Amino acid sequence: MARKGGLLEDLRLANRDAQSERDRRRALRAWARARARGAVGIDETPEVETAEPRRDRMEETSATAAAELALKPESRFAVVKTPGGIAFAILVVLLIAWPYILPAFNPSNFLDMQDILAAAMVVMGLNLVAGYAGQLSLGQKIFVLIGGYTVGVFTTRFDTGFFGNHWIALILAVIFGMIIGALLGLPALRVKGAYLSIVTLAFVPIFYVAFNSQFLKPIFNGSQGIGDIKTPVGNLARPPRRVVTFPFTNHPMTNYDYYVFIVIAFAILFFLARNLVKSRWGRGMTAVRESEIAAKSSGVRVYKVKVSAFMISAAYAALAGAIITTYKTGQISPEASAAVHIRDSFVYVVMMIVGGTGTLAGPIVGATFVTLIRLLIPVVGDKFNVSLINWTTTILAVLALIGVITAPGGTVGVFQHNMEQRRAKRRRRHPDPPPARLPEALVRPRVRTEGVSADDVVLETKEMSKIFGGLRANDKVSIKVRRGSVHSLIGPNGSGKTTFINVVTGVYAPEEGEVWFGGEQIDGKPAFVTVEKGMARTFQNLQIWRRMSVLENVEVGLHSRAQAGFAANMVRTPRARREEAEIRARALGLLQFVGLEKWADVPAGALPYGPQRYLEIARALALDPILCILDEPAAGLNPAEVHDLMGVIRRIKETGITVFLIEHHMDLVMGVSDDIAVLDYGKKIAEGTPAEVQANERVIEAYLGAEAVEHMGA
Amino acid sequence: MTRFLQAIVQGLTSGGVYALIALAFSIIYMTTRVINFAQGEVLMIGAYIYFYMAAPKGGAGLAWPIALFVALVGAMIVGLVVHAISIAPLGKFDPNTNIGWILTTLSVSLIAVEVVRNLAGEQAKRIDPVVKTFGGKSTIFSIEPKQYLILIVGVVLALVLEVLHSKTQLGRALRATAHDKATASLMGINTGFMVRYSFAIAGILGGIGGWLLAPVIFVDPNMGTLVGLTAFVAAVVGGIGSTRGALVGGLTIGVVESLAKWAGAGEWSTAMVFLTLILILVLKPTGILGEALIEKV
Repeated sequence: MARKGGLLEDLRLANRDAQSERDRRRALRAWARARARGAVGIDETPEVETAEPRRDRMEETSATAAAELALKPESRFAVVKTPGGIAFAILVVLLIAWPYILPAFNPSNFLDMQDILAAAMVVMGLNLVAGYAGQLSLGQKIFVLIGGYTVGVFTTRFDTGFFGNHWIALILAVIFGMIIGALLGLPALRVKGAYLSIVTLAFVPIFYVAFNSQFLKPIFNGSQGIGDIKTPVGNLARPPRRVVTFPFTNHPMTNYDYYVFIVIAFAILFFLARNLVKSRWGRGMTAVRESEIAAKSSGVRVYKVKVSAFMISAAYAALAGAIITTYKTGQISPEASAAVHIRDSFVYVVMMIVGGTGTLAGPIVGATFVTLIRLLIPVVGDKFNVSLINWTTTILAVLALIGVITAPGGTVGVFQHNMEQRRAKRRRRHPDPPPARLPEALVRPRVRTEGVSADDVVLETKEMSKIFGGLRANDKVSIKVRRGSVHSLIGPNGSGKTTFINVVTGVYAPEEGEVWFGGEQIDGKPAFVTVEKGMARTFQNLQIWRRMSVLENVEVGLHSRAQAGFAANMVRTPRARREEAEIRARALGLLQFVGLEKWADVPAGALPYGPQRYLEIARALALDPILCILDEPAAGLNPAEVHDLMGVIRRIKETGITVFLIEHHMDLVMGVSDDIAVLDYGKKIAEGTPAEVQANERVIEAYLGAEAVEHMGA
Repeated sequence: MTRFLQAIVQGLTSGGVYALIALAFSIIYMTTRVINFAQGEVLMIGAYIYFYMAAPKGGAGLAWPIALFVALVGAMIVGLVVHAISIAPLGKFDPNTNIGWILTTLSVSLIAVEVVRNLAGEQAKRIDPVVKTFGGKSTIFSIEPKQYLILIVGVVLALVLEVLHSKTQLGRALRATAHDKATASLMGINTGFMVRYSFAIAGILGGIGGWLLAPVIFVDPNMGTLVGLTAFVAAVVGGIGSTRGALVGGLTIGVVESLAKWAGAGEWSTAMVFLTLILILVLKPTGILGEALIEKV
């Protein structure tokens, strides 16, 4: 992936030398006819020759291809030109003008826009960790308080010094938020499940105790809290004792100046979140949410993704807390009870749910909607002479219940769903033109060559045993897989085949013996290490991300092929953008390799069963593997599909990738394998070429029973 | 030294109630893989029902066994209602990838606290313990009998449930449901019933907890929240989904909390409980008696 300009150069050439669209259509029709006659498999592309010089091959690509694919790295500000971007720009302008619009129809500062903006910032962060990465934090108020206390302590203690500078305090607030986030997230996110929810919820009372405590009174001033924090001019009835100034000057800020800053901060945080979500890390987060095990074996560092997402959410909340503390009254206190903070944390979650979990606009919509409801509750109560204010939490909680149960996607989710259906309907009426053919360089899976030992044996297990509660699922299994071969592992159900794969790929650690891969001992290494070393696998019970598109599924597979980190993707550095373009191009190429290119935008869960299997293979190939492990790829396929699969396996082998196949379908195994090993009750009972294994008595015995062998002998 | 031993005994007695609620968490976790965030509130409502039935002043003044029975039936119904509102409407879902259940159970818990506060008032309500003296003494080891009762009831109930779930057909059905819902239902087990059964049992356990705690920490709308969270820590420390683990975890956490108080941690003793949780998550995420969950792929 680091190859500079390589692919993009190919595509530019393709664009320039392209032939007419008509020629391409003709070739496609010829291929389709041949396919209808059964003359070619789905794996065989309509391409006629493959051994031609590069230029000529390129000519097969249509002129529209490169343009359609947007393979140029997207410009950093391209998003502003999209409908969503324009809508957001208008929103920002309206927000900045808001204090001038407001008096026109509502003179009594009924709606404090900065509250909504601050809440939206917290919820944007929460949405990253909960909506995208699927880890729900119930204690975001902790970070809001940390942000508020940071500006409180620093701007009052150091006042005129460097640390007393409001802007430095804001940066410190973010840093402290992230540190506390790491301290809570690192242990809580080690384990799958709701531990982040529990730990964050449990720590709300503890932070309440901390801010209140006698012991820490010199810092936080106990239950009284901190007053006279630096604040802009004009919010308090009296002139503030300490005033926020513009950065690098002593010029005091008015409350409107600071309000504009809040709007800008809100806009920046929104774009950072948006960039992150659209990047490989955003896809990684969704992949973690949908299936951790599949994310792991696609080279996504699950733990890192979860902890980073949580730390980012903590940073968002801390910044919002610091800003709103500064703006409002210039004071902060731990309030009456921990229950207040638990409720506030819950309200952030309700905002996320109501707006739309896992959508970009959701936090903004949710924060606005819920804040309005909270403001309206006492008004409505007064009107009907009931004290509704005591029922605020109940009303919000009922709202959350209804939201989760009836519309898990929230307001924005429902809207997007409707749009999607309308688009699908339009597509049915006017089908898209068949997708463009990509240059061969993109379609061909790559086998990695750098840093790979030239050893003839790719994978070797030495007397490896895996024991589950006394049962030897693998018993002293020794298998050697030759480079460039198709090696099959067969055996009756329950003979330990999948366990073997799980040990080899690092899902389990073996109790005895060794596993060697590419000249290194790898037993006991975690799954992501084996992936980085060049192993890719598919799963017996499909592990695709059903709610992500087919293309995105493969793009996640390319995750570990890129280097740009979280921060780089949030600000969209040139490298991050170039990597994103390459990931997209290669993902499209791999989809074409397995024949799924026309389904690129469809949610993976909507694919028929057979193509889902191909999708998993494409995702595995995206890892540029040395060894591709296929766990029962033919399960559930019809005979024609099995035949196609055979072609795909052969073509993978042609590229130089070693294939390790677990399969029950004997025609497939015998048709493609170079070597076969047979497991029975966890023990290897035979190994050899297909012919040798077929003739082996112990194998026949294992499959048909001893009596059958006697019968055959008789 | 006496003080130290006293702190340990004190810890064991309060650990009894953590064990009870940890059992409730575990049994629900077994059948549904969710953690019922409203479990503490079930306890709180149980305590309120008992108060309104038993208290001579401000209540009906019934004899305590009758009041207890009503409280347990009430708590069981509350448990079932929690299930009907927060889990049943979600249909079939994977608790690991769908976070909706966290929100629904938490919503129910917040609703319960606010409704009770608005109906019964914020003020704590006092009720006398069932056993005031033991063998003529009002304290043993300067700990009151009402506290020993917590420990005794906690341990006995944990043992009863352990036997019930390991020796009876009902228990086997429960464990089968815990292990593999789909297969269990193919074996003719009514898994929907097993789930409701677990919520009902958890409700009763919550009711007993409320009854035991009512004379000790007094009855108020927030009494369940912290007990619930602490008991959850106990369940994780012992190994969630294990009956014995709930007992061990409950007693351990009770002692940890009590020793923290003894060591002068004061208001920070709750923090020690949650630091124990963090420690367990780092050192042995499956808990003391929990078995590693093997994920089939």
